[in-house]
Amino acid sequence: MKYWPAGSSDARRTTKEKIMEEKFLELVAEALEKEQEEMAMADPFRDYEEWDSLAVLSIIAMIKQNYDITIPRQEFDQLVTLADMYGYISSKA
Amino acid sequence: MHSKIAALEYQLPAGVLTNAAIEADFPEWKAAKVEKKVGIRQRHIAAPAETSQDLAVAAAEKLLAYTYPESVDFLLFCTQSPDQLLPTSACEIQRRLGLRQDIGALDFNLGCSGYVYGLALAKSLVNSGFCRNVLLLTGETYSKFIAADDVSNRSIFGDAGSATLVSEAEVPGIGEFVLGTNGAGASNLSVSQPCARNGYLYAAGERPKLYMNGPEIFNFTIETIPPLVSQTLKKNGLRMEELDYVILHQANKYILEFLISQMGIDPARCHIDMLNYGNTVSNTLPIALKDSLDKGLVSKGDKVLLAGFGVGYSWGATVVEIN
Repeated sequence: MKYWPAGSSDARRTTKEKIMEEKFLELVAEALEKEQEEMAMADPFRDYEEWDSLAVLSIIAMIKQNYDITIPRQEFDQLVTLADMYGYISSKA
Repeated sequence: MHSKIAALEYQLPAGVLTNAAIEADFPEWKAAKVEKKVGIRQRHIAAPAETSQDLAVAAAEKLLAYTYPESVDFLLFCTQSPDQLLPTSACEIQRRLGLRQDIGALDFNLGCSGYVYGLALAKSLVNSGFCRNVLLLTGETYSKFIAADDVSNRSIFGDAGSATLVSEAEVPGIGEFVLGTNGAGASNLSVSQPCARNGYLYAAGERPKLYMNGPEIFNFTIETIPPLVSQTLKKNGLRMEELDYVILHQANKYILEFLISQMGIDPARCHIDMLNYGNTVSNTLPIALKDSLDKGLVSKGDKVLLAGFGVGYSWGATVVEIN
């Protein structure tokens, strides 16, 4: 019984984070028109075959539309992996 | 005194750059994808000896064929790709069109906001009682600033010219304006060399080169245009649903669809058509307005919101009613 309160809140937080991460990946997949199964948070997204100048706009638009965050170009250029991108969004949310 | 848009024409150069031609040179630029995403299938490109002035003059000649050239008492020409540094192109245009000599004529240098600014200037000249008929021309040949290997900009920009006659009217045909400027964005869309800052020096064979920071221009647009539209509605005492049609600067389909969804505008009442023109800078609004009238998308008495935005940064909007 004694592990119940702490364990439950940790578990719930983890589940919530997982759901938000999944949602983020789903939105990136949609923006890039890429299969979500082919993507992982550690991926350097610029290496994707689908990456081009329009993909930049798609991602910036996706972030604005879903998280209401505008990423300046200079800051966007410093993001390497999808995890970086997600971290940026989380830090501004 | 009030003013209205009394006549409107545009001119496209004969030369065409298709998506298929781009794909032939740059195989990774799939023609179908460019059309689907950017909403452009081809752009008209001026011939080497064909200039912004030529395109504007051709558009003006169409318009003056059924209006009164002798009634024009002011000439405004919007361009960022003039034939020469000086004299101002409008002086040569006065001669080429055979306009009266007792008129004012000047160029102004603005890009995608230029048509709205031109309407604001023309309206002010007429409503003040100083002029009765202002001929507002736009002409742009960005293609001459774009390097052959700059496929990204080549796929977007097209060349064109337009002519609009703004005349005095019994009832207002041009509404209130909201204009804006933020020079902090200057470096994100520019042709900075060769010019005075670098002593007009450039290497042999080097030409003026367009630079566009697409993502930053996108950010500027999505931050600036929704408030511009709501301020313009407010200033004109209108609600969104009272507009019959909305014409935003036809930058590219992608950005327009994003703005329309952000602002919650009914897509059926919003113009998206740069399929055969590309982004023609200050010409997109007059081309879209003329096409909308010709196709019956806009009828007499309709209230149409026009919004231009881009290089500068510079932006502006108004509501016009064609009678």
